[in-house]
Amino acid sequence: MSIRVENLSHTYNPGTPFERCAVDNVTLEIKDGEFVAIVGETGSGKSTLIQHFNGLLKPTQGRVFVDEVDIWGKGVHLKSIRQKVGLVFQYPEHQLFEETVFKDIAFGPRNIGIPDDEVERRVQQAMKMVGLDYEALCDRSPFELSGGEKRRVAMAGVIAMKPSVIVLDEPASGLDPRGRDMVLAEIQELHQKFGFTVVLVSHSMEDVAKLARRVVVLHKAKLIADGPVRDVFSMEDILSMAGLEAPQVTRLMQELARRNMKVRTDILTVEEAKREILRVLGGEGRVP
Amino acid sequence: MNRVSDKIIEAENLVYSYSLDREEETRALDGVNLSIARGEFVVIIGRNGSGKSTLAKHFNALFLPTSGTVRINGMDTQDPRHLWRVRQTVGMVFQNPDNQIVSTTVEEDVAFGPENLGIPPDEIRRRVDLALEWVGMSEHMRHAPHLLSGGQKQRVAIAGVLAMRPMCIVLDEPTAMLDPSGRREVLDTVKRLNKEDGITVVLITHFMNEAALGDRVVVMDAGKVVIDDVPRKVFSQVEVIRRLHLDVPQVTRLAHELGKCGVPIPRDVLTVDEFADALCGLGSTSAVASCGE
Repeated sequence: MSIRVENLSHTYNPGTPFERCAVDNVTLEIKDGEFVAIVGETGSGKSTLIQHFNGLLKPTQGRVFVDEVDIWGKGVHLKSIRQKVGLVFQYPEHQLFEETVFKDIAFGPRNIGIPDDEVERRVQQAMKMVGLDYEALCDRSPFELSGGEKRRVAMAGVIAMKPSVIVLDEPASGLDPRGRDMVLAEIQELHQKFGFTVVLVSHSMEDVAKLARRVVVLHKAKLIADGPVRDVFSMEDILSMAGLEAPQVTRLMQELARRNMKVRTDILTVEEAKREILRVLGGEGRVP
Repeated sequence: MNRVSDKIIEAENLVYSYSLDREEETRALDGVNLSIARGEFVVIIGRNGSGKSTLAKHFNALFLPTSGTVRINGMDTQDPRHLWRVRQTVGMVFQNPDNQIVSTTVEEDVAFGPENLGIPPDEIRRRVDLALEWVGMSEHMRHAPHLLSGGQKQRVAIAGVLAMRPMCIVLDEPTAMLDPSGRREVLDTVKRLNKEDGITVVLITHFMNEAALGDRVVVMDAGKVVIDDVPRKVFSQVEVIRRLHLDVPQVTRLAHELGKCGVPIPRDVLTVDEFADALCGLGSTSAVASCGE
């Protein structure tokens, strides 16, 4: 499933003193099976942009296509678009409300009239996909779970709608490092193992470097960069203009290069940095 | 005990327990001993549920010990007569700036605390102006707080605390909901208050590169203090830290990994510059050859 936005602009409160253009003429295509990160400062337009992906917001100008269908065209049911493109908001655990984990995850599918036995199958499957034990947790209250577990229940609720695209707004914020690693590992698996197209909004460049192939940088409502993470993160000027900072290891390699060490500067992870440093040290490091 | 006066926070055998269903008792804090001296910058880290926030809430008597004692500038928090002075001594800043803002303009918001203390209006004016200047928000004095960025809102929250003239500020994950530049704004402000104005800072965070800024890092796990040392010593224990569900800065992890391959980078590097210095300073020929000035 692909999402394409064409010359999209969104202005809040048009014609009032509070008028503010939150997204300014953005053109972007997310292809089926991609893993794309969207980064930028608070107020750069990320959240406004992603709410156009499933028609929660209507563009002030421009068009949005989901699978080449103009979602604001005549005769298009937004309900079906929203089922195809699932949105996981920031702090989704705040939206849990049911008595049991099962009921909470089942809420969406039941709402669209899926029969009970199919609902149960979907809940089981969704919980498995996010690494939650169905038997142990389905009758528990979602409010007794840990922060990371609650968040995964909320994600399962979106997955149970069987979307093809999952858009996640800051899925790891507020979690401790282990909780963060676990949620991110689930997201990676959703992409690699289950084939979801994933759009990840994140403030953590480390997470983006670890997971995404492509990154879109927004700054003051405009798209200022769009390309492979490796390329974009080595453009120091773009990142600093957007108020962002490349991962610490990327910055380390850039610093080493400034000190005339012949290292690659497009390094994204600790593992890559290790290999690169061992390579330039030549026979120096005794690789086991 | 003549050193009491330079300790601003002292927790002794602090236990805090609660029961969810009357039967089982959960100990959120299980015998914490910790003392923080005036002017220190202490960072508290620990996985979710380790007791960090519960501990922090004892520092201004939002929570009172089930057993053990907490003394703030020598005052026992259990003693109700001390309550207001304790809260004036230690100010708290929480994670979500939106939950801490009460007024319709920035200056009114900052004035809220001192007004409640019954401070005379001209003194309030002075305090508000100074507090906003400290956090670099003077120009936004008459703006509506809800239109500010997250980092700006958090700085207003800090100004509100500063206007109370506390000796110590406790910040509970103040940057968790902020973007990278908002984080930087808040941290720069906090560092400056500590270094230039001598305000004691207790910072709770999940970001390990923030933790590296402290004079001291306290690691909590299961309601106990498990490590209490300078950042360098704490983060060089990569395996221990990982077992506690925490992380170390990327360059520290890299040094650790390279160490396993025989590259002698000190295990306690915390920053990009330290790492680069160490790598370029390697005495060996090939490293020197590939490292210029």
